[in-house]
Amino acid sequence: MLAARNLSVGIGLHKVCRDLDLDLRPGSRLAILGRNGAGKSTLLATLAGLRAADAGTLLLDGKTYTEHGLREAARRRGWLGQDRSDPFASTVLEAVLTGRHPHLDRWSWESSADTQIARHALAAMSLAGMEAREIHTLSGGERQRVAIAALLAQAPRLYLLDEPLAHLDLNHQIATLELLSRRARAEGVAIVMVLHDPNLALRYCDQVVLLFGDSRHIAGPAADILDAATLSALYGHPLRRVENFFIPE
Amino acid sequence: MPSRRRALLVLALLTLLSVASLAVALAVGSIALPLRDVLAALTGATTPSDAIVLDLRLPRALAGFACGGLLALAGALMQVLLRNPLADPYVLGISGGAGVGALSAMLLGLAGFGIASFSFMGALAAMLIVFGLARGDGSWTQTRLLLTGVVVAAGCGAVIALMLTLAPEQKIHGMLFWLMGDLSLVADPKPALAVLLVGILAALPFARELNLLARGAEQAVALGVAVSGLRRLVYVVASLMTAVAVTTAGSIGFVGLVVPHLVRLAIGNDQRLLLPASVLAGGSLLVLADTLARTIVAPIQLPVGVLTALIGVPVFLYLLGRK
Repeated sequence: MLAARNLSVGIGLHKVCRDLDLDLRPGSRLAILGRNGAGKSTLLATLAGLRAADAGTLLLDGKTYTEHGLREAARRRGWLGQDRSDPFASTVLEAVLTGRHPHLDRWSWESSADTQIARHALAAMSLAGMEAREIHTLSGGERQRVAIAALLAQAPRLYLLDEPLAHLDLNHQIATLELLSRRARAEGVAIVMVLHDPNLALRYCDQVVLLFGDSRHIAGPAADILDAATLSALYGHPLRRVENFFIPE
Repeated sequence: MPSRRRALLVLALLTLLSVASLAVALAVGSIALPLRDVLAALTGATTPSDAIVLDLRLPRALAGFACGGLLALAGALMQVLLRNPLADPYVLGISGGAGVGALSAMLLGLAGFGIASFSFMGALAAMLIVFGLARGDGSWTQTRLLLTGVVVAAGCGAVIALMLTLAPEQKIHGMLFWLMGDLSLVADPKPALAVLLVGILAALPFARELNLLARGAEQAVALGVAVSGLRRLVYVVASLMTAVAVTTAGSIGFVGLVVPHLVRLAIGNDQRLLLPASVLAGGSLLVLADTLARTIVAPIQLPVGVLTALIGVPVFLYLLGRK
């Protein structure tokens, strides 16, 4: 679905990674891990086609993002950013319906089918009944779930999520990851997400990319790569493996 | 989110309001005319008062409507472009540039067309300077555009203050009227109406994209919006509309900031409805304000910019408090 070959990504003078190879097939779940400022979001935005790579090729369903064009790309891949600033008032339903934009013609208005899709997305994020709420009255975690619901309403085949668990309580963190894994298994969507918890990455992802912040990276199957020594080096803090969990010392 | 049917209903009501405001503007004045006579004059019958309606009041009312619509639409677009509810058509220095141009023309002793062409050139110069200096890409562009515009506007304000200080006594009254906004010198409303139509036709096809742009540029790109092209389009269209409005009637304040907010408070922030509704509401407000401005203490005519604020402020505060 998404294939990267020799991908080099940088921002300003900072090199995020060199010669990264990735293959995401339907059903794959990839976690990007690394310290603050290592370039996780930059890599994710590059994989989403939102910024250009320094070198290498990136193909979504066999074509580059340029060949797809913005609109076609938006039907195939969805991206969840970190920014939740909304300068203007809006209802929850309006916010979720923005996900339907790539599926609508220029002069079309959202149909009842689109509204239905948005309601299902809200229900999936346990926000049913909140449709008419003003987004500025929501808590941080609720707004995060509204943003994820908008992504679900977009119904892409490839999900790219930048810290999807930010502001979520434990219950909704697990519920969100379960929902995404279920979609990957049942519908064959592929998922890439920036995470901060290696335990969740191990439990919910089959692939990982570790970014060390100095242009080194390690990419491969989660079960092979994630061990206490590598993670201790990644985070610059000693970690110990206890049964199947990594515990900070 | 308004359905398409509700949107059309709202726009039909606002169209009625616009027609009513124009009817009032044509009927009211130092010589009050019954609506029957106004209609007769409009349909081409020769009546004793047709010159008052057709030559005096109609051009002025239409120019007022066009300028109100231009300013409200430009304000709504600027608020989306800068993602800032405090933005108005003048925030990027366009009215300042126009003011410098217009006041220079007055100091040089020009009138009518001379003032208009100088102020239009001043507006274009400010627009090009701001756009040229703020060019760049990335998340800071919005802030940089806003800062550049605010600084250029402040510079123009200083030049205007200097010119007012140095101007001969007998010219100051005209200058102040121009700065506050004044529809009494409008000769021909057709250019402003034409530009208003062009602005609506340029902005409306992108209304849903603008909804996404208002929420955040990166997310909009991810949803398929060509953001950098759209931003340029919005900047150029909003700036030209502002330049034409200011050239036609001076820098009438308040309409461009408050009308989009009034409309937003009443019907929400969906640009597909907000943009055309702002045009109709802004046009009607300015026509009514101008009618009041020339009748309330007749035969003295007040600058209409004072009236737009005097009407707009309490209405706005009421709507804000109601929420």
